[in-house]
Amino acid sequence: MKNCLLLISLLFASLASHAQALQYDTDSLRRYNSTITFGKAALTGICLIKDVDGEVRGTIVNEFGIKALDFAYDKRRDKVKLQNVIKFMDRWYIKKVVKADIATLLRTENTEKQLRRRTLTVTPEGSVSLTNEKYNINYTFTPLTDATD
Amino acid sequence: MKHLFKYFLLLLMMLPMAANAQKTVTSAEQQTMVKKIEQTASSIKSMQCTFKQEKSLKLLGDNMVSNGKMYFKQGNKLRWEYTSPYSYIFVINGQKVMMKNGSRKDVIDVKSSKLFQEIARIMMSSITGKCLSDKKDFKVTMTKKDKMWIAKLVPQKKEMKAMFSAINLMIDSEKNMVTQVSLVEKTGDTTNIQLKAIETNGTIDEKLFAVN
Repeated sequence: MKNCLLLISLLFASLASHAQALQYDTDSLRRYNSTITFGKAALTGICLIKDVDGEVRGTIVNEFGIKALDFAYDKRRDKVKLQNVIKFMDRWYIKKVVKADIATLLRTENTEKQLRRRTLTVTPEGSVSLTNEKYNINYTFTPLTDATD
Repeated sequence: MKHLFKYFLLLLMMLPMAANAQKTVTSAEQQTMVKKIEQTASSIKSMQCTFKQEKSLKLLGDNMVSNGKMYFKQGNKLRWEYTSPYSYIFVINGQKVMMKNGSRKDVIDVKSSKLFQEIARIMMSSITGKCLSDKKDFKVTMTKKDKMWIAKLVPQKKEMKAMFSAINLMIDSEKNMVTQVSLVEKTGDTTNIQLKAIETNGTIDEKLFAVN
C-alpha cells in the first residue's frame, strides 16, 4: 500500500514537472501581470495568452494597452514566431533570444540543454519567473485575478 | 411590382443608416468646432473622471477591459490610475513622470527623455482637446454624428506615426468636451477609452500628483 502511494505521488510529481510554466486555455484568455527586465531597463504590462486551434498565441501590452509584441507558439514544431514587435526590441539578435525564452515558458517539458544558463521557477500560486543568465534578461509573470471587468 | 417593393424596402433600410452616418463638415464649421473646444479647454482648471478602457486583441480574437480614474490639474498635472484588473499609476507633475506598478516605482525627468516629453504633452492636450489645433502633431479632420463631434487625428511626427495610424476623439457637442478616445494602432488593434462621471473645476488633493 505504502509503495503504491509512493508510486502515485511520484507520478503526480513527474506530471507536474512536465507542465508548461505559463498556463493557457482554449476557451478563455489567461492574463498575467508581466515584467521583463533587460539590465536596468524594464517593460511592465500584461501578458495575455490563449490556445487558438492548437497554436498558443499571446500578446504583451503595457498598462495603457500599447503593444510590445505578439507571439505564436507552434507546439508540434516547437517554434515561436514574433510579430508586431515594438521598435526598441525589433532587432534580430533580441528577437532570437526572446523567441527561445518564450518557447522555454510555453514548452511542456524543457531539456537540460534548453534550460542551460536559464533559471525557471513556478510557484504553487502560478507565478512564473525565468532568468536568462547569459543575456541578463528576467521575465516575471503573476496571474491576474479577476476583479471587476 | 415585386421588384419595386424590394427596392422600396431596401431604401427604407438605408434611411436609418444615412441618418446615423457621420457627416463631413466644412472648413469653416471645423474651425468653429475647434474654437469652441479650445475655449472650453481653457476654462478647465481641473478635471476628474472614471474611465473604462477596452483593448481589442486581433491575434487572440478577444478583448481586454480595464478600469480606472483620471485626475487633471492645470499646470501640467495628470494622474492616470488603473484600478482593475491591475493596479498601475502614471503621474505627470511638471517635469517629472512617475510610474508605479506594484512594488516597482520609476520616476523620470521628462527633460531627459524626448519620448516622455511627447507622451506627457499629447496626453494632456488630448484630454482637454487642445491637440486639435496643434498642426505639428496631427492632421485633423472633423465629422459630426448626432450630438457628437468626431475628430480624427492622424499623427505627423515619426514616433507617434510608428505606433498609431489614427487617434479618434469623440466630443460631446453640448459640453464641448472629449468623452471617448480611440487609439488605432498600425497593427490593427484598437484601444477605446470611455470617460465617465466627468467633473470639472472641483477640488483635487495635491497628494494625488505626488511623484516621490
